[in-house]
Amino acid sequence: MIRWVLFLGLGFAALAGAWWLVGWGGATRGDLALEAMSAVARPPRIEPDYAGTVIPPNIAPLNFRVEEPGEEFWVRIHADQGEPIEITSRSGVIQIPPRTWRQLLELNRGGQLAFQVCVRDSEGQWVRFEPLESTIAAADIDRYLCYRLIRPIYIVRVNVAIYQRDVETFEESVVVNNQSFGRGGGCVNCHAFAPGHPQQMILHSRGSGDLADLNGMIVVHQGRVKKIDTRKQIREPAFRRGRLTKSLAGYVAWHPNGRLAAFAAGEMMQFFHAVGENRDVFDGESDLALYHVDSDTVTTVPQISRVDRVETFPAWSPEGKYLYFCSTDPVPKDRFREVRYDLMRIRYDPDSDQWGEVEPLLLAKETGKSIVEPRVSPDGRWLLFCMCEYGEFPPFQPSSDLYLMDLATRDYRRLEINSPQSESWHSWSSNGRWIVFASKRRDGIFARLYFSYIDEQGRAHKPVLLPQKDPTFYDRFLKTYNVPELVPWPVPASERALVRAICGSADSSP
Amino acid sequence: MTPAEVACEAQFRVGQERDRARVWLVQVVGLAFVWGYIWLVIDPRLIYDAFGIYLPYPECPLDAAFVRETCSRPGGPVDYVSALLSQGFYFPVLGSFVVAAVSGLLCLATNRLFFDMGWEGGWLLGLAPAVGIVAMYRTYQHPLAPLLALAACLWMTAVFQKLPTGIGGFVRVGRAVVFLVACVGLYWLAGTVCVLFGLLVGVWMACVKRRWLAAAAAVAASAVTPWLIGTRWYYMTATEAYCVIWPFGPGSWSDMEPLPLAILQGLFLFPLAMVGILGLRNLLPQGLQNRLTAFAWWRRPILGTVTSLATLALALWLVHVIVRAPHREVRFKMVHFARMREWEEVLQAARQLRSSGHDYFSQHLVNRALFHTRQLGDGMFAFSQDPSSLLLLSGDVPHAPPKFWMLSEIAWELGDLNLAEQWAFERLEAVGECPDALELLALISLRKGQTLTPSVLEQDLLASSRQTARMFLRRMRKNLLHRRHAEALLEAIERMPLKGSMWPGNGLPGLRCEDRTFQTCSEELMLENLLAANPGNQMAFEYLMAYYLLSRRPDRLVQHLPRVKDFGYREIPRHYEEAILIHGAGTATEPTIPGLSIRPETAQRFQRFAARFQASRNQPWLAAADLAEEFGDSYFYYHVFGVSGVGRAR
Repeated sequence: MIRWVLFLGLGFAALAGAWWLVGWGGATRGDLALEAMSAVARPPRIEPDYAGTVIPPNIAPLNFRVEEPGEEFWVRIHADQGEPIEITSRSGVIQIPPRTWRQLLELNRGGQLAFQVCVRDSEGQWVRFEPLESTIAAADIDRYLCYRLIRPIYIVRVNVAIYQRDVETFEESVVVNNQSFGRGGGCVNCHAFAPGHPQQMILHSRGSGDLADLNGMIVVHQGRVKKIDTRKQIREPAFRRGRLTKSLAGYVAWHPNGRLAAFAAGEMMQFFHAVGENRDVFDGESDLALYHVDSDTVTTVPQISRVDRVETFPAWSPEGKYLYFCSTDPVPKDRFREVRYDLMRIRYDPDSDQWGEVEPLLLAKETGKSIVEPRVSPDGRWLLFCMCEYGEFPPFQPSSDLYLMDLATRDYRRLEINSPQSESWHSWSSNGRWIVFASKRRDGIFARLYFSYIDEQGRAHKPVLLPQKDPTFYDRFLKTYNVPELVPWPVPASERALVRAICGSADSSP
Repeated sequence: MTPAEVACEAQFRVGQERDRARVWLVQVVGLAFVWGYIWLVIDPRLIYDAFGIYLPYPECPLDAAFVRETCSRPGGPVDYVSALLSQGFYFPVLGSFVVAAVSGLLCLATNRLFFDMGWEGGWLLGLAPAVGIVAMYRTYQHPLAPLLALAACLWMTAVFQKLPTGIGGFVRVGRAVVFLVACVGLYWLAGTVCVLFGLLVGVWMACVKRRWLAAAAAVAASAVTPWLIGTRWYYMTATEAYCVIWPFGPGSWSDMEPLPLAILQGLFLFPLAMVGILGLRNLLPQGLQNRLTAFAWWRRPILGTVTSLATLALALWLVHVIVRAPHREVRFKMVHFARMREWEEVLQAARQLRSSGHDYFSQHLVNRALFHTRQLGDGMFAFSQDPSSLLLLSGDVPHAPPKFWMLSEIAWELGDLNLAEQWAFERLEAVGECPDALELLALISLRKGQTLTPSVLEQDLLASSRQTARMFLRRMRKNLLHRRHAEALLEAIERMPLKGSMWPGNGLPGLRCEDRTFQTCSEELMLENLLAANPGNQMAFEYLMAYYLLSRRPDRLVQHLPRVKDFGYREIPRHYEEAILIHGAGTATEPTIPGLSIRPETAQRFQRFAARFQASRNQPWLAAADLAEEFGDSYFYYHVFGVSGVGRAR
């Protein structure tokens, strides 16, 4: 008797396993040729919408959900080369096997990728939609993406963390989390990487009140992690200018030589609106300076730390000969709607430490908007920046859009990939073919990350939402992404080392 | 064996069976009493409604990613199970059953340990944890996670002691390996209780097995486990590593009032102390041990049962009488009734609090209940008041979970969407993804979308505001208890026309349309703006008047007085009358509102107050005591002395 029960049990288990592996729906659909299905003269609705996008050849599977009513779903992903991928689903959630996906993309770099979607309705009839097509770019995107994940924060900070995502897989790991400080608060922000220097990065930690000792700039350099209070690293009296002795370092940009970093030291304050977008930021005073890694010193020149200007958002040209930044005239806080930043640059010779004169590149009086967050492409040809109605913090400005300037002609234009909501926090991949940016286009509150392909002519192609293993992930993820940075290598320091530096005292040795 | 011996043996067995049945009877009755007590006296629903307000929010969405994340830290599994079981508190009968079941687990494990230490008669003392748990819940604490951790530790110890013993080296090594695995596993499962596990095993090894070296090794291994695993594997600080679900030291479970904390610590120390005592007893000569064991005088069948039950009942009765947290209980009731929108009951509960027992949050709920029962202008000074408690916007009110909840709710009711949104998000960040905060954020998103004027661009924004609402509701759908409600709301959104008018939020007062900015919000400015945006916003009006009363500015109240008629008052609210009289006495003027006049009794009362106050003006504290009885519920008294809700008003 026992043997019979065992035999039957194993038999059922084998049948169930076979059903699971083959997929019941796949078998039924296999009876029906695609041509025999009734055709719907439109592409299917899928979420996220990947139709017409240009996708990186090394991206993780673009899992999606079919947003058409049906009992069963069958998807065939195919291209000119390689075996097609066929997936069956009863829920409409399509999860693509990573290995075959990678092979298909690798074989078809520069080619087209088609998604054929078929749906079986409640009456058992299969319908096929017009195929969705995407283009596989020839150029890879940088493998790692570093970003901060927070709630749409107002005052209380309980869980603030910087993460690193491998875009070739779905693996996300913590770079540093404020909960690891063991102090019930604090903040980490503004991570920056040195192009061409995999062992270097900077991020900031913040704390107020009892946590003020957490404040500092965390510098990772040649395998060492240290905390710097830039206010105390100014050796020469001539460099003690403006906000530099009063404010902590904020936005940072590494020089391509990896030996110095430009930073803004300002006094940003958050305030609130009674209607519309809730939060806003005002920076009444800010100056730029250089942090010299080898000597641990901070220097500046009057051109970038003028008392009568508010300078911020430093960005280096790829050869390191120009420092781009934004500046505006200071105004009282109650005139925050009048704040409009100009785009400037200044010549710099790192060998002789000589500065040129500030050169206006694009003025707010010409555009009528505030120009912020400049980032130069790695080939030095393009300058990507945000323009918004006013102010210096585009994530809180629904009017913020991305613009691209040809640095050879200084012509600029609004990119086609913008939405009615805020676009901001953009970063280039190291080959200059991809950008990542944060957009609130889905709901107006939570920023999500998108990749867009920038072709030779500077055209930005329909962006791809950062894929997640569960395609419904963004439907209920209540955190917002900010400061995405694409890097070809992983973060060069462990969380433990970063936390140790953050919780330790600032290094003030010369 | 002779027939007599057989009969004797049978009788002995019957006696043993009877003893066992008696033990089970008393234990079951005891646990049933715990169940009934928690259900009927404590009411788990009060605890459930205080989650995320006065108690930590037990977050446990049905979400694989969340489970993975929770279980990836030490103590995470017990935390998740505890959060899941805490959902049962929504249904009082189930919540109390959970408490009784955990009590049972602890008691049985304790008994098991006593038995393994060779003390069969200790079962009544083994019920002590149940009494301690009742005491904890009597103070309206909810230490389910540490109790589960403790239960896991005791059962792990009991199971470990049952492992085969032997003299062979293989068995010894095997036991050592099992011990280490159990220690590490327990740290991951339940946190720092692995140290307690090591101590219990150590005592047992030393006193029962007489293996001193193994005992010392067990204690040492368990002591270093949190440091080794916590700091090396989980990147915690040493302090954090030793404070995972542990009521000693600076961890979150130590953050409670002294009495419940002492009880919780006692529950953790009790098994160790008892095992220690029993261990010491085992070291005594056999004769002395027998004499001590013979002390189990309650073994007589009926007398023993009755005595045991009586002892248990006495212990629980003592807990009921001695251990109390009346202020906390009333605050929990106020929160519960406010959530149910049973405002009269909120006031009834508030009346049980002494004036000194009120804090900002209870005062705030009182005012909200007074508004909803249309008594704010007539009855607010019958309760203790503080200007900061009206809207909780003052810097004096600490950023704490009750503030996040109350401020988001009051801002929503007043029609200040941005403020409600801000504080609901603060709540998500500080407390967790509570379903009511998610629902509120969804409603705010929809309401914000509906305030837009139609245009092509704004159609997009409207759609995105709906998308935001859906996100919050989809997240809410992951909650076991609020799943259906979230689905109903999601369906309602799908059915709602793009410029719908049937949404629940439409019953709210008109919204602000003029922007202004602020870093710290001021009550007066906020309420005046709301009134300017919608002159028919009665709640904003009454709160503005209450604000002027509380900040002792009758002149400003008098300026806004003509608006009283706009809200259909048939007579001037009593406190407004009192403020008018005070203002009139100071300025020698009497404001008039056509069709409304000050009631003679109020004027007479003012005369009496003024006369008596003048009589003892030179001794203000004497005057305060003298006038409290008659005028403790009046604005006169509050205006002069700055306190209210005293004297006969109580």
